Amino acid sequence: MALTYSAGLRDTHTYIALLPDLYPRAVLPADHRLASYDEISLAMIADEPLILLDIWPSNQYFLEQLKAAGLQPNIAYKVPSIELVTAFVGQGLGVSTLVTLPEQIQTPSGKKVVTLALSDPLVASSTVVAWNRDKDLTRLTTEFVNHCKKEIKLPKHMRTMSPETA
Amino acid sequence: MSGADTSHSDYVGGLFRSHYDWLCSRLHRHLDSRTRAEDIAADTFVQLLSSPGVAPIRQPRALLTTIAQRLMYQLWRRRDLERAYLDALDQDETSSAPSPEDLAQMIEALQAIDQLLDGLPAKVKATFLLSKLNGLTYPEIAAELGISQRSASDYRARAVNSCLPWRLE
Repeated sequence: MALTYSAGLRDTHTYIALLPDLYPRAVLPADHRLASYDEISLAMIADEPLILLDIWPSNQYFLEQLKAAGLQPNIAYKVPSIELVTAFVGQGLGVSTLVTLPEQIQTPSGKKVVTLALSDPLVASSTVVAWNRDKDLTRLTTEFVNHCKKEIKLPKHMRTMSPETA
Repeated sequence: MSGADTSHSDYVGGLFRSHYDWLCSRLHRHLDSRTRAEDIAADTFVQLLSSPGVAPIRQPRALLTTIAQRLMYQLWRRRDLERAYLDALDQDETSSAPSPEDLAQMIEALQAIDQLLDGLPAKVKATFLLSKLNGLTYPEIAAELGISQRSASDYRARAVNSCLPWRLE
């Protein structure tokens, strides 16, 4: 069994969603020209250097959203953690998109970033427990799935961002 | 775009491109997994970006190694704290198992207190721990550490004051 995102799964797997659907948000430096907007489109930031969270399947997921919008990403940096994404964005090295948002919107250097809703038709990111569709759940694995459903929750700071929990 | 110090940012961005993979490989020799090495390497650059100004560095790999080593020690210290806390929970039959979220918050709190206490002189730190963890009185602490009762009282107050900023956050 795996705790993963539905985005990376093939049809050889079946899964149960553990968290409400979430959508990517744009991450911009607080002093960016668009930072005061309530909502922007991917096209408005497509030409800017992109700080890509380079963890599979997140990287693939974000690039597919740009492709679906008919946009070519201008990847400046591929970085391996959410903290580094916000640190790079906070330093003005580029912009990004994230689903999981850091609790501290202020980067360690004190440079603030803002996150904005995206107006594009986006594919939701779903956190799931998945298993091979040819295998039946045993008593033990059923217990594990129930435990995951009970215990896995959105971080407190993100609970207001999901339409299902707001 | 942002009005951040672009020369510093671009410099650190360049360092990331040139040295991140090297740092991951170097850290992997000391850590049990590649993923853990990548986490520490990423945090190293987060710390570097939070420095007021680092350009130009004559030996960037030496600086990166120093920062990464400090983060590695913090990771090991965190693991020790976590293990000690879980052992204490195991021994306490009256306590119920905390949720994973509560556990993570408690370990973060312990780590924060540990870092605050680390900056204090040894006797101040010992006084605080003897008082809070062992429940010793001032006369008992004084006898244990070979200090006066007045010093025991002062040291405890000093340690508590040091922890106040964390409690107020």
